[in-house]
Amino acid sequence: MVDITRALAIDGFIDLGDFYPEATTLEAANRIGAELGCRLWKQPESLTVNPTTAKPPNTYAGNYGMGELPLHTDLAHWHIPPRYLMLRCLIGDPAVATLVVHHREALRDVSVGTLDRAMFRPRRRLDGHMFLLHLRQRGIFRWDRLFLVPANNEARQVRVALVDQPLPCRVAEIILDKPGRTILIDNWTTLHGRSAAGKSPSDRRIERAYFSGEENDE
Amino acid sequence: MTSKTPHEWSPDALLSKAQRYASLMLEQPREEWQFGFWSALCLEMIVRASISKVSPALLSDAKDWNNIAFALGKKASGAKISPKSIDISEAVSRAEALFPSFNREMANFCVLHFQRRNSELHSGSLAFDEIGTSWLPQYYACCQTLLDAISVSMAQIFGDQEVATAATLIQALKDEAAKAVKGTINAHKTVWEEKDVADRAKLAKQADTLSSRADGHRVSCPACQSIALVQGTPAGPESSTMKDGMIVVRQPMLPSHFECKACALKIVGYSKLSACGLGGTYTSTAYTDPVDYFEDDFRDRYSGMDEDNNEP
Repeated sequence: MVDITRALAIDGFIDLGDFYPEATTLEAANRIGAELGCRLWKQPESLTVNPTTAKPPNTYAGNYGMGELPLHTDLAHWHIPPRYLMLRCLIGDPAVATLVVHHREALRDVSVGTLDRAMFRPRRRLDGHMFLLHLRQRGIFRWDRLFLVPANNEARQVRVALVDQPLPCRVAEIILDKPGRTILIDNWTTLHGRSAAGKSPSDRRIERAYFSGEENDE
Repeated sequence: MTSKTPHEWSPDALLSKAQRYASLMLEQPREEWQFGFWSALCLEMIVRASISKVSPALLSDAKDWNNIAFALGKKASGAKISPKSIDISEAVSRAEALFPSFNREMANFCVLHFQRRNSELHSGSLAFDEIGTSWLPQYYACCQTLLDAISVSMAQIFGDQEVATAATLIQALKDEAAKAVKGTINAHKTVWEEKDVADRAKLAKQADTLSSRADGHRVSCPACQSIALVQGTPAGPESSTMKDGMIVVRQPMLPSHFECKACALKIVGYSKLSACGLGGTYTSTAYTDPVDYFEDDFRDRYSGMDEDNNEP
């Protein structure tokens, strides 16, 4: 197996190609978990493309539907989101791409001081609590244009850089085109999204697994 | 591990709020009362975060163990109380005990600043109006000391631009202390040199006798070079060892007060002592008989009685 940890540290993601295509998603996830030394956070989930009307407004599908899913990190509004994210193709669609870019590239025109001081809060209370979250702290980077609300000027600058301006870098486009095609993303460093699925219904079915990780104590 | 929400007494949560209050503080004109008010709220978060960095349990009001359980991320079954943390004056006292560099002078400033905040919030008094900004150098000195103690940069809380201002103000505070103490020392030196040789010798001898090691740390007076005493506050945990049958207790101390019995020079406050070369920490050493040291452990209900005797 390729050096997953090294690839994740450099690029923030790794395209594992046809990764044990005969294995179930759970079996594939367990192999990756063993390689990373991380635990599977919960059972793999199945993702399909749906129109906005099919999902509630507290979900990405309910807001973006068949359109492009903007770049984000998963569960960015949580205090400690899951560390790694595995996406594995069950039914491919050559017209739909998974978009991936490391935050250091996406935000390279923003000063380190601004990135470190940028604070957000969840748009809604979570378990009855409201709290502040740094854009990056203790090795965790987070971003979500929908579920995070800027809480200071630095955060507003970050939002402009990620939402209102074109990114200063290339975004990787990976087509999960056939069963077993798998990518692994470092959810604490790297943004991901999805291109628009087009107007016609798509059978695309992706399975997703999360792995937990430990914070840096710096 | 994943988690939805941070612990509300965690250093990160408290420091994030400190940063939020600092931003509000710095948005105000410095002569306005709101500048001082937000500064006090920011300082409280920094004090609490520094203690929480050692352990969130140190923020809990220990009168109810449910508060300690909450600090440790647990909730006891049936516990309905809202978690209660220590009040800020107790937090300042704990910070002083935990961080030797956070000296009595800084603790006193914090207490005063929090009194202003209480007065602003709980009375009709306009506590932050017309107080100027002369408190700002001490304010930043306190913030920097506590943040340094937990390895957090001032820039994280106040931003790069304000950190440059804060550094200038802190340096000015040191320079001002140096200037003030230099003037006092020179004045005492002049008076001392006007005395005749016999008087000086007599006073120096008296000072030597009166400056007992039992009362403080013996140093040379910067004005008259007689033996004088420095007293201080504990600056870290004490250590005890056994030597020649005695318990030797060593306590690191940070100077807070100087007095010379010969020329009557008195210097109060760490910044002034530091400015005239008397700011070095010293060790207070005490020798104790083991029986006295462990007195409470030895004492039982038969203490003071003769040995047991079953003769009728």
